[in-house]
Amino acid sequence: MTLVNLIENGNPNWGTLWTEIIFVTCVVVLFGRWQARSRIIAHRLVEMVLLYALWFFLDVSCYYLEQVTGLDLSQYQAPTFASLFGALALYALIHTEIPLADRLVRSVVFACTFVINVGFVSTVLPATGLMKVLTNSFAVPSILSYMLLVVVTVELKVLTLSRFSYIPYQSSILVMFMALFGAYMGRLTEETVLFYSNIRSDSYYSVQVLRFESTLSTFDLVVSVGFFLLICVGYALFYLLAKEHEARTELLITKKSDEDAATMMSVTQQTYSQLREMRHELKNHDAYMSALLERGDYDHMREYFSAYKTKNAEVMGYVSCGNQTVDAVVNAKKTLAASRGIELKSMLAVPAELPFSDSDVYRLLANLLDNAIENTPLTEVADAPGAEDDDVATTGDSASAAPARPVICLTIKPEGAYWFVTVTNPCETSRLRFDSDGLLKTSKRDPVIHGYGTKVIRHIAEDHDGVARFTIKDNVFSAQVMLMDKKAAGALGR
Amino acid sequence: MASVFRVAVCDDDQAAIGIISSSLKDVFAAHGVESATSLFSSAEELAEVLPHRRFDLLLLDIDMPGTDGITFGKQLREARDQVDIMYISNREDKVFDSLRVSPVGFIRKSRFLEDMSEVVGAYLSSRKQRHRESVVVLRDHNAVYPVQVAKILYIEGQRKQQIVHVDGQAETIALRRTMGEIENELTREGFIRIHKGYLVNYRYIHLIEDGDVLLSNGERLPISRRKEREVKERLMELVQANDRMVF
Repeated sequence: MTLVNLIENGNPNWGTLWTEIIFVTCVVVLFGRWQARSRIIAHRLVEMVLLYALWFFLDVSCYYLEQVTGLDLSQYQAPTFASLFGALALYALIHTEIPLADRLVRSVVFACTFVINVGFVSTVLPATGLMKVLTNSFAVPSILSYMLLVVVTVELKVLTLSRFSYIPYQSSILVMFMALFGAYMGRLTEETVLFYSNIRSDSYYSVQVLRFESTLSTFDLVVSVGFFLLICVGYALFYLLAKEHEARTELLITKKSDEDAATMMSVTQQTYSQLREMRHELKNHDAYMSALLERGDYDHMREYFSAYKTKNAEVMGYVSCGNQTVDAVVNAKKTLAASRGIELKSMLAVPAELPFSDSDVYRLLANLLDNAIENTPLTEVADAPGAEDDDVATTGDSASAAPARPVICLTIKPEGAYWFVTVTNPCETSRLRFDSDGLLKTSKRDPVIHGYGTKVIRHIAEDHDGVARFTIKDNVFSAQVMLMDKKAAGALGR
Repeated sequence: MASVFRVAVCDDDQAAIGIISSSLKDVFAAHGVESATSLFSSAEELAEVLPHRRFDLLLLDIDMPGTDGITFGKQLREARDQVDIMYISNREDKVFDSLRVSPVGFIRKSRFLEDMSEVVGAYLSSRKQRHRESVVVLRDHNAVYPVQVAKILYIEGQRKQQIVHVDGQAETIALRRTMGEIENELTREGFIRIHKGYLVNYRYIHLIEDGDVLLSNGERLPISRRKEREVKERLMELVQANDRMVF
């Protein structure tokens, strides 16, 4: 099997290969812009060229299989489809770091755009007479894959822009023009080689190509251009749909965070009025306690003291960890938890300024704590007075019948170049389900928003080169988040 | 522990120091440890005594006139004194600052009874663990090498043998075992298989980024892309499980 034989048999894949290489370059460049890291670009480029090479190889193999077995496979475009699916299967198997669902979506979308692109190549080009080898038989699979694309994108329950980014419409449109050029170059190469190697010195095509002549049918051209425009409209539509959906969801999230902010405001006001009251009473408190002490009236003192402690438990419990954003969120959620009879304990080792934006800190903690509060089972007695389980009570008689309040525990501390945020809460295991991404499936009324809770947490973690992990063990649910401290990463000071 | 546990309690608040030290003794007693407390009213006082007397634990207040608890701790560390320091204070906003001193615990004065029993309890059990041999014996067909687990940086696979890199030691140890076998033994000691050819001690992982793991001694090791997330999760798991400081 020599190169000349390959050409002589009129294998159409030269043009396709050119197209593919140009397609790859365009996609990589466009993807490369979104992730400005040269190593990843190179990685993708290599990956995709290998994918294409594989496709090309399988395609050619099918062709030779035909020759050997005498079957006419090309009638059903079998070689092309077989090699396409082979390449995609390989792709899906290699990338295990991407969740399965995303992998499948990408493969399908990839396949569809590909077929459409090649379909374009085979519809427009024949119409312009440049390539008479491929026929319009590609139009049917192109239309089918186009419809599949519709179904796939609509069926995605959450049609977000990030999911949509798998559909490289910009590259597709760009490539459709580049494909013309690519196919033309391929054909030109082919014909030139043939012409100058005297195999087909009287090649009709070569003369035609070299002179830019073509037999163009107006109808064919209109159909092809129409088809092309249809594809463009389709992509534009999907893009707009995805954009609107994302905008709507963002609006809902903003609404929720506004509500949170309003709650925080009222909590702050409440705190201030409580503090004022406390200050007022402090004077009385001193006098009263001294009097009781003078009299040696320990019983009354004990009573007074525990009542006083209970009254101020809430205010005394407010955290002041040194970081205002953290304080604000934690205190607001503490009050929220208390209103549901849940105690929020915190262990915070944070500086005045965390190396993350206030909004990220707020969103992360708010989501973590909201989830914990929502998922903690409530006990019958909503507010058992003074039943704090930390009481190493000396009053033996106060074995209150009220059950201990459930406890949510928040920890924030640094370790090396990372920050670790953990929230644990008691839970009933049966109520929680995890989806394939390891994210919590929500049973709330407003699933769009509440499902976003764990997604937002994971997003923030991944934005900061970290991870988020949700586990249940012994009826305790744990949300663990690790975030990279970019500043500490620079300075190796352990 | 047979010997008496010597604690130095330093707090400028005369009223508090008495209660604190007696509660401390009670908590130690509850864990079956006999303790002796020495009281100091300032860091300077304690500083004068330290060169002459050894303590097992220093329990320091933070807000003190003169040298505050954290500054004092930093001075000790700079002078290479690795004595166990525990803080007792209401200054929750100073917890982060205190981390630089690597304290073994932080007790909040506002809930010191509860915190004290929790923190001291955790401290005592971690001390027991520290004393238990944290030395692992690496065997191969020819020889036996006892190595301190916490000092192993990473193990590198090289065809038939695995090279053990130890912190502070220029020469490496070569073991003629398979990586898989070593991994099985060392996983529970906190080693992570970041790559087919590398088994790393989580204690030395500074950060994971860009296909590399950067160790705290500056070395870079490659990490397989698809394992990156898994390794980060494992790191997180190990850090939480081996919480050195309780507060």
